[in-house]
Amino acid sequence: MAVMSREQTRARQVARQKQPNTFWPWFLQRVTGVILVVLLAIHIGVEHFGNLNKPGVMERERELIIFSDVAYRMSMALWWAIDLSLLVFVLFHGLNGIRNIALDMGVRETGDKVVTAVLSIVGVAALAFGIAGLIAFKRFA
Amino acid sequence: MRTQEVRLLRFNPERDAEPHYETYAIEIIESTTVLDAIISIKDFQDGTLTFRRSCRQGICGSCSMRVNDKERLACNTRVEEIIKEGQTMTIEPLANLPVIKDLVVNMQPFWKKYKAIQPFVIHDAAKPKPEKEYTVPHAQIRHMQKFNACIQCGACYSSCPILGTDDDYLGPAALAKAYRYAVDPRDDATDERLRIIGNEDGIWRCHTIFNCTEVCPKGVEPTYAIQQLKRMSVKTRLGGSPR
Amino acid sequence: MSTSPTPGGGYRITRPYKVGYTHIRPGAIDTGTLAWLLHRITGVFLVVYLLMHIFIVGQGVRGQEAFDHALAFVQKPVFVFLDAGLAGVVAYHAFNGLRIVVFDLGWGIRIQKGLFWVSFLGSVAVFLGSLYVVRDLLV
Repeated sequence: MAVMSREQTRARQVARQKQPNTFWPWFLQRVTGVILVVLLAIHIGVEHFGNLNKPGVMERERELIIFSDVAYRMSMALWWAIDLSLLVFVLFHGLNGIRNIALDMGVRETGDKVVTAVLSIVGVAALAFGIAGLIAFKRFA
Repeated sequence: MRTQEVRLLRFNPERDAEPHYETYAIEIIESTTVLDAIISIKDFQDGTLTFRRSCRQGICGSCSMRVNDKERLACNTRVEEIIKEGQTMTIEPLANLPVIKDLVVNMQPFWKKYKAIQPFVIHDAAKPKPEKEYTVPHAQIRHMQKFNACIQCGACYSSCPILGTDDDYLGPAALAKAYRYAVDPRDDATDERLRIIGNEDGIWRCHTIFNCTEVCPKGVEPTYAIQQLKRMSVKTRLGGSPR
Repeated sequence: MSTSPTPGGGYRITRPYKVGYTHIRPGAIDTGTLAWLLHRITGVFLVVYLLMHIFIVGQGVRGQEAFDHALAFVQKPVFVFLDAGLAGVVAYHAFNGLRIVVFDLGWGIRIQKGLFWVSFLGSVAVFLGSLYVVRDLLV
C-alpha cells in the first residue's frame, strides 16, 4: 500500500492537466463514424441509386448519374450542407483510420509526426479538390 | 489407448539458428492432458525438451502455450477435448514474446508493462483516515475479484494481434489489472492511472478483438475492463468524474 | 525476428518470433478476430475508393461533357454490380462500426458474437437489396 505526501498529490494534479492529447482522435473517430452512417445512407440512397425509375432516365440510355442532376442538387443549400459535411467527416474518419493502422504497427513519436503530416496534406488536398468540384457544378449549371 | 501425433516447435539457442518443428508419436488415453503429453515426450523420447510447469492444476499460470493456434494452459486441457480424429496436435510457445528455449518464453516485457500500471492501492495522505478499517461494499469486492483472478499466465498477451505488430502496447493483462485498481474505492490515484493508460500505448490501441477474453483460463474478460477504462477516460475528458 | 550469437555458436532470439501471420492465428480465427479483420480490410478499401471517387466526381471542373463522359464509363453493368457491392461493403463497415460504438458505451460486450452476425447479415441484406434496386441496369 503506497501513501502519498502532499507534494505527490499536487504533482499528480498537475500531471493530470497535462494528459497526452491522444483522446480526441479516438473520440472523433466514433463521433464522425456515427454521423457518417446517416450521411452515407442519404448519399448512396439519393445520389447513387436515386435516379432509378424516374421518368426520362431509361430514355437517356440507362445512365444513372448525370451532370444536370448533380448541378440541380448543388443549387440547394441543403445538399451543399450534406455534401460538404460528408467530405469533411469522411476524409477525417478515413485518414484517421489509416493513422490508426500505422500506430498499430508500432509507429510512434517522430514516425507518427510524419504519418500525421502526410495524411493531413492528403486530406486537405482532397478536400480542396472536392470543394472545387462541387463549386464547378454550380458554375456550369 | 490410441496414438497421437504431436508437432512441437523446438529451438535450442546453442545449436539452432531458428525454431523448427519436430514430430513425435505418443500413446494417450481419454484423460491425457497436453502437459501429460509433453512430459511423456520429455521422459521417453527427447530429454532436452524444455517447458515451464508447476502446479498442474490450472492456478500457477506457468504452462500456458499455443496448442493448435489457440492459447491454453497445458495442464488443464485434455488432448481429446481439442483434437479431432486423426488430427495432429501442434504445440508452440506463447507468441509476442522472445523465445528462450523450446516452449519457454521471456516474460520480461509482460512484467514490465504489468509494473508500469502500478498494481497496488495508492492512498492520498492528505485525506483523513477512517476511524476503523476501510470498508468496501460486498458487490464492489465481487466485481473486482474477477480481475484479481488473473494468474499472469500470458495467454491473453500472446493472443492479441495488436501486440503482434506493436511491442509498445500495454496488453490485456496489464490493462485489466489497471481497471481493477481504478475502480477500487480505497484507491485515490484514478486520474494518474487514467493518464498512464489513456495514451497510444494503452487503451486506445485496443480494437475489441476479444481474443484475450476467449483464451483467458480464469474468465477475467480483459476486453470488458478495457472498455470500462475507455468510458472512464471519456467521462474525465468531457469534464465529469471518472467513477 | 532478431537473433544474437550465443557462446555455444548458436543464436538467441531477442525479439518475438513470428512466422507469417501467426499474430492473427490462422488456425483459430474467432468471431471477434474476423470482425476486426473485415473492418480493417473494408476500411482500407473504402479509403482508396474514396480518393478515387473524389477524383472522378471532381471531373465536374472540366465541364458537363467531360463529367458525363467519365460517368458514362463507370455506369456499365459491371460497374453497377460493383456499386451494389460497394453499398454492401459500406454497410458492413458501418454496422460493425456501430457495434464497436455500442461496446465503447459499455453495453453488449457479453453478446459480442451475436452482434457481429447481426451486422454481417445486415450488410449482406444491404448488398442484395441494392442488387434488387438496380436490377434493370445489370443487363
